[in-house]
Amino acid sequence: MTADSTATRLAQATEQMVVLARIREDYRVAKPLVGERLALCGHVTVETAVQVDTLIALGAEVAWCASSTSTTDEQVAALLRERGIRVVGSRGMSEADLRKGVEEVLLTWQDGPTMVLDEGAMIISALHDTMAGLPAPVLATEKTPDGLAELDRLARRTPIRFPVIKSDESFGKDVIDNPHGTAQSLLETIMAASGRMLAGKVFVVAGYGRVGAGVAAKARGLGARVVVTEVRPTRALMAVLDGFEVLPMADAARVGDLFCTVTGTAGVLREEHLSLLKSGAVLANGGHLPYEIDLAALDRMTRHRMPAAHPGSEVLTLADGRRVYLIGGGNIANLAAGRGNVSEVMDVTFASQVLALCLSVKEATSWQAGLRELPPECDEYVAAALARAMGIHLGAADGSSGDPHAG
Amino acid sequence: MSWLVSDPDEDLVQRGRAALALARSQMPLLDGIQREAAESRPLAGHRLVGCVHLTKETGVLVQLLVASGAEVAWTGGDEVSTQDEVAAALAVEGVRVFGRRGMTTAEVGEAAAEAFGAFSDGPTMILDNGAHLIEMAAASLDRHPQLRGATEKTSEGSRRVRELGATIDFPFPVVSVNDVVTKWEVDNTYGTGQSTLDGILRATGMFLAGKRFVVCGFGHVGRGVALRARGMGARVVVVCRSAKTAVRARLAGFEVLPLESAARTADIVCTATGRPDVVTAEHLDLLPSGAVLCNTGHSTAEINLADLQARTVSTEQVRPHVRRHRLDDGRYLDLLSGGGLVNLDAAEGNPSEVMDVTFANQALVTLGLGGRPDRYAAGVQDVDAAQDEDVARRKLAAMGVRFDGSDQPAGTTRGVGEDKSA
Repeated sequence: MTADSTATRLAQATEQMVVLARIREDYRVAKPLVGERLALCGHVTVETAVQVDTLIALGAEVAWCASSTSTTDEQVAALLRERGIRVVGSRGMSEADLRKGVEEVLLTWQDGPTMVLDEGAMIISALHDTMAGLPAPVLATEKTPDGLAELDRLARRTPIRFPVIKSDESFGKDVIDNPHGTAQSLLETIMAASGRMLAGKVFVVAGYGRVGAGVAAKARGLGARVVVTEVRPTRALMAVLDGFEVLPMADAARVGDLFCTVTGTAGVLREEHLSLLKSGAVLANGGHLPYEIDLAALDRMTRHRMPAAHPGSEVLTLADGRRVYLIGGGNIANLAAGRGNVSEVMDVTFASQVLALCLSVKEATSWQAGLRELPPECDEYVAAALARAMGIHLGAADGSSGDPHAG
Repeated sequence: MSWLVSDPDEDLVQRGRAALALARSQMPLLDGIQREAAESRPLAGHRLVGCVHLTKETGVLVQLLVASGAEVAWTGGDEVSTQDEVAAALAVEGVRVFGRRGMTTAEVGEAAAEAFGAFSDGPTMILDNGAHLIEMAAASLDRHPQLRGATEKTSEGSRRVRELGATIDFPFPVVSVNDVVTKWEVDNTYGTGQSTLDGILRATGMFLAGKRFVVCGFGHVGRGVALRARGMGARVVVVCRSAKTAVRARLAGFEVLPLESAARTADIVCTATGRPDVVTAEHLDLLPSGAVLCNTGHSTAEINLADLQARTVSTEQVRPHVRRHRLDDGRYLDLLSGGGLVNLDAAEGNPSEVMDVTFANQALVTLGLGGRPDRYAAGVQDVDAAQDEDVARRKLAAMGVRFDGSDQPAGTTRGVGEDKSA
């Protein structure tokens, strides 16, 4: 891929990431991050590059390390390096190199960073471990549930040295990313990697949380007959009232043509279910971790596996002759076998993080160390910027409620 | 004069009994809870005052409370929603019922005050809908040391209760039974969503497909109304005032406009915000002739009736729930149910099985307060998540739905409190 087309991709992402654009515009003069040394850990993609561009536009000095061994977009990394930005990481690097990259980025400055934008708590963990000798940054943010779980484990071992904002729990995540962004990209990936027509198929959604409800609604929109499985009564009831068939997995496994697990828990599709699947069934996991489908059991049952006709999926021939299609090897399907979230969804997530820094940079020096919530103004700002970008006009005083619980 | 229902007509009583039996047949949760509570009688010795729209479904709740051992006084707290036959049937069962269908707002207040004072020793328990009784209790706490607990089930009432709780130390638990999935989704979104459409259709007999249907508010009720109206083929426009709600509505596929734009082409405007003065003079002046105005929010003040009256030269009752306002500029607007709750007035409110779920929550909290006063601490409290799961489990069982958690006994639900998954 040429540098030109990478620049085009970056330009296109920049255009679609409207909330970050608004932040650059609103803080163009104030430049609240001038003088800040910012260490960023994140997937090396065009969307993160737009976030980095924004942070630089706000005055920060940025050094960036990859958050994953397999997701780095080499062209994007090269383009940013050409512009003089420090980017550490390459596609296919080892786990050890990934960790070394984190340390390298932290050593960009003699006194370490003043701010951290983290993913998977990799930088924050290093600052409590091998790099604990560096001065504590003023403020950090963490944007993934896995990272927050890691921080909980860390906090049990040792006191957290500085304030960390949980930018995962936000309006954007609840209202845009999970039910629309992730759900759409899962459906897109499942269609592309399975090559199936969804209309008329039995599509089994395991889990009716925010992502699951979105997947179920969109699968129905594509004409599938949706079956939901749930362990939790309130969620099972919501699925029923939304008009979906709710079944135990032991029943759903017999009738499903396609399966998508989105529960966030392990062992959803177990051996007892796998043994019931119809030949030709398609399996995809939409949860963060590759444990929702029991891959070890599936492996034991498999006699032969080979790539399927559509990229991103394999066909597994089981000992009894049935064939099962597995998307993305049971890893989170939309990342492993698809394009992940579209730019406009990543925009909302990244914008919350950047805003959290802009709005907190002054007060953070007086904050206590430890985990804290995203400032509520971030959500308000993101929603207002989106409404504006969507061309929604809100009346001056129409008197209706913004409270989702208001009757 | 007293609003106490006494010596009711026998024919009315018979009709009330039939209505209660019909409701009970569709309220398996309350029926089941009543059977459990009739054994343990956790409300024995309690004097309970309730203020909830007196429909046949509320009547089944009242019967449950009586079967649980309580002495009960009741009032509807609303101008138009009291079903006199239900009031009559309950009155002959020994319940002190105050009020009737067709009262003025002032008379509603009188009846509520009478109900609150029905017991010479004062009530020990309050079951509220809109915080009318809880406000009375808050204003006279020193005179009511016998109070042991209160429950409130509406969004507005819960908001009011929290306001009160900020300045008053309630010496007993005041439990909001609103912020649970089985209330706000089942009742507000799906129940009220459906019954509002039902009310509009029954009142007007209009054809909905293709009509411009403006929903003001996109909380649980507004969202429910918008979804049901879209399902009927209407072109739905959502009006809301916060950017967050606007984005939520837009991503659900609805057009979002300010009311001053939406009003110009509206065929129907339905308010569902819980706040006053949503539709005012400036909007009334923009509506096309023949537009239908109705409200399904808790308050009758969402449509500013004074502004409407100021433009009205004559009115005509064109159908039982439709008052046609002929305006001074030649247009006419059809107001449903006098701007009151269209789903309760023109239809039958929430279907019995929806109220079954809502009342199951309020009944279980009330029985809990009677049987185990230590379950909730004093002051304003939310109902706990475990009860929410218990009610959902009961409802799924009643519907015959099997799911992956259905083999587990109540109280052992996996995943409760682990809201971050998926």
